[in-house]
Amino acid sequence: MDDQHINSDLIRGNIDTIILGVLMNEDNYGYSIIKEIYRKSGDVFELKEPTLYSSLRRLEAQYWVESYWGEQTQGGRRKYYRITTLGREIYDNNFKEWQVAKQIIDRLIVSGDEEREL
Amino acid sequence: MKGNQLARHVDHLFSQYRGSIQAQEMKEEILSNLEEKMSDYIQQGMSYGEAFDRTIEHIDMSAVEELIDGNQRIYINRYITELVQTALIYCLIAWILTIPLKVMLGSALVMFDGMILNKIFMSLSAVLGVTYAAMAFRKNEQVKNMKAVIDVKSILPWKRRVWQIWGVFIIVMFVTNTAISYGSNIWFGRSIQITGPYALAQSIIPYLYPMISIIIPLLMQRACNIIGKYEVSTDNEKS
Repeated sequence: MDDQHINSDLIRGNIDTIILGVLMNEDNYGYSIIKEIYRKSGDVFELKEPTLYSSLRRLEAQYWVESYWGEQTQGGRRKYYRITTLGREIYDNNFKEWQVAKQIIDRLIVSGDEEREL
Repeated sequence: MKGNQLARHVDHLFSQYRGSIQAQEMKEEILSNLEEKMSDYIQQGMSYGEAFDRTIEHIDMSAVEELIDGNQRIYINRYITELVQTALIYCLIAWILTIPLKVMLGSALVMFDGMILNKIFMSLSAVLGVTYAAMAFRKNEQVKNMKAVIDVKSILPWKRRVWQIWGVFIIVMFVTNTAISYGSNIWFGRSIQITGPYALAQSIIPYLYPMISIIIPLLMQRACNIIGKYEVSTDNEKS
């Protein structure tokens, strides 16, 4: 993937779903979620802390995830997040919505130039 | 020693929020994540200084302020119960303090009848007493532990505002009392005569009794100060 073409805003717009996706597999905590997203992106997208934490707060406020304290490390206890049943439903729903949106946008965004058609 | 610099930095970012459990929890979470990030950088071979700079580069005070958005979840019923209890105590004290006013009739109290003031506090105490008893002896655990979100940022400024309004009220009362009681004496240059201890008391009382209204700013102060006590945190969460 070409680094210069990454529009972080577009990715951040879907960050709640992205984080839910990470938590679908297993419980996780802040920094590890950032690392996992970085890895999943093919080592190109670095999620910043303010975005991560405000997303986690949003997710928790709507009961899509729940948090619990883990082991003591340097700096304090780790806060783990677990996706809830409701969160799983939301993820599935958002995933489908994204698939649909992606198809439609792909179609709409082409300018008629054959090279750009996907 | 090295870890302390990061801890100090994060401590500084959260320095405004020492009273809030939720803020302290956020701080602990952020610090533990940043510590790990930093030690990863160092393991990758970065110098301490560079690792530190890169670790803290995205979290600054305005980011923290946005995360602490002023909305706190508190145990709302327990909070209100304590507030009612405080109001009850203040009203009982006010009731007791206004008992001597019952004997000072009419002209001694420029604007209010001492008897009425005393009766007001007596009724308030009774109402608050019943309310408090009903709240304090609730059995239903779910109702007792009910939570709500309150916007602390819009409540706290009122602490100061109420004191300011009260200050203006007291000044106005003082000036009005002086004008009504001694206005004609001052105007005509007559000396003000106090004929004895009872008369002295009679002249002082009108200045003192408006101070009873101090229970309003005191109650407001209390309302703001005990919010932290009833915060819901991940540790103490009860349903």
